[in-house]
Amino acid sequence: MASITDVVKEGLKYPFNDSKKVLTLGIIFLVSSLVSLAMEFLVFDNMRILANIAPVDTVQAALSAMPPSNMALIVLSWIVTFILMVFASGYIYDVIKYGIEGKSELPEFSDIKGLLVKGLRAFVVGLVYSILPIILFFLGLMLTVNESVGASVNAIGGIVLLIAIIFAIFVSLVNVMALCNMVDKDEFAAAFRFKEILGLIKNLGWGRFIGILLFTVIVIMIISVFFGFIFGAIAGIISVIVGSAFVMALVNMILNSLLINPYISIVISRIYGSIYKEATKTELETI
Amino acid sequence: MILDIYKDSLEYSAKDLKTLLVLGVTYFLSFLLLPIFLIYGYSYRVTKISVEGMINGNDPLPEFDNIIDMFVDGIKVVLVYLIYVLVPFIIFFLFAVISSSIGGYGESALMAIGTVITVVLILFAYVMSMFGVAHMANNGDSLSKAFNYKEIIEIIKSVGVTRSLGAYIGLVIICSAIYAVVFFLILFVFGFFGIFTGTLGFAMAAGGIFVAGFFIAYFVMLFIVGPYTMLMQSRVSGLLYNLH
Repeated sequence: MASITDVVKEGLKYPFNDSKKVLTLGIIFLVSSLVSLAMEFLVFDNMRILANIAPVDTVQAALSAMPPSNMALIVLSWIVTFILMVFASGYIYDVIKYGIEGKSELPEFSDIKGLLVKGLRAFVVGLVYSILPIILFFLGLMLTVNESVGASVNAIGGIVLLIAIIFAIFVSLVNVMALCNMVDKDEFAAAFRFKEILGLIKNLGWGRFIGILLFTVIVIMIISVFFGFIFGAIAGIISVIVGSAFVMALVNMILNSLLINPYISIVISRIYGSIYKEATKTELETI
Repeated sequence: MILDIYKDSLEYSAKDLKTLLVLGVTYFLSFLLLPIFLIYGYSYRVTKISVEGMINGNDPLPEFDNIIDMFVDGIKVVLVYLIYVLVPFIIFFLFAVISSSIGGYGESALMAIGTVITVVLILFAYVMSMFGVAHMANNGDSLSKAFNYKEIIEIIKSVGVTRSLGAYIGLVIICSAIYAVVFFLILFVFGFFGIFTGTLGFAMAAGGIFVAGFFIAYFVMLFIVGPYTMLMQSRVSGLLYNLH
């Protein structure tokens, strides 16, 4: 049985086995973030138009004031970003699969349709798992900040909020194992067989499971802070030479989404896969 | 025995100037947060070699390679230190909260007792964390072994409580002595040059020499003496663990 940190070490080294594919994933991230930057520009444009005709009474008036081409472009960029993100999470799905199988190479980009289907599956699982905590969270928030319902209800709302936060942490932990279970069994329903998933986590041990995830988060945080410093410095120097603040944001974004984001997401999913592998292995040992 | 350990670690850390310089550059970059973990990872390797080696055993210095492993090990070591240091600080905080709610002379008395207890606890936490890291190195890099305080106390007892406390206090004294000696030596040399130029009648030049001496002292501290004491500490902790 490998120790906690061996899993993390293996995960951190894994993307270097084939840096070309990491860069390919990085280009997907880069395109989607460039598109969303353009979208932000359009949103800003719309806001400026709205501010100029200042007192806007109804939603219809606001919508009619905005140029239709802007709206169409915004919706289009949403769709493009969504498809690219689904594609990327499909790739991540494959990385988890390779992690569970213990392969040392990175998965291929060849099967585009398959990747999109897998990504959609992962997206739906994430959505379903996050709905309940979000509803609970907003319920608690509404009860807490609403002054018209009285202090005692506000207190209950506070408790609900606390429960929602704890519940959200619990659900996100289960979500990790559910995703891996779905990837391994290769069927959608496997993500919602809670007895099986909780059994897997119990086999690994809750302490170990949370320990690995917490350690991973610490490692990832340190790495991203370090590269944030370095890329920030590079972007700052370039922007001073060019003399534009926009260039700084652009360079920072390009470097981050091309190099760091794909690396980190591959590392995290590799570690997820290894965790699942450990969980199933301990199951076999106990039997 | 302790003196042998000191002698061995003084020699061991001075083995390779290049390693010290590489560590020094890493030290210099540690405001970027990640390099500091590399240094701790390197010192962990030193501890690991020492735990497996013996006193005056002519062990090699570890390589400065496999950066990812070093980084992860460094995070583990820092976690161990942080959690051990947290305990005395929480106790100090509790004392502060309780005593501030009493008021009067009782407050001062309780706070005085609390401070003494905290200082003693910090000393113990330091020794415990050192042994904890060595215990981790001896048991296959398992983080949970570093917090297995029953086993660690057992090991400290077999080494001898006063002996290990004394060894670490002595280590701190030796490190500060090295710092002081190097600093004053450099300042003395440059002060001599400064006074010499000053007597020739170049008062401003003397000031420049003094400033240069200060900077050189600072960089020598940073690049050579700092890593040197760090290696020494790890070597001592590994060898002391080995006495059990």
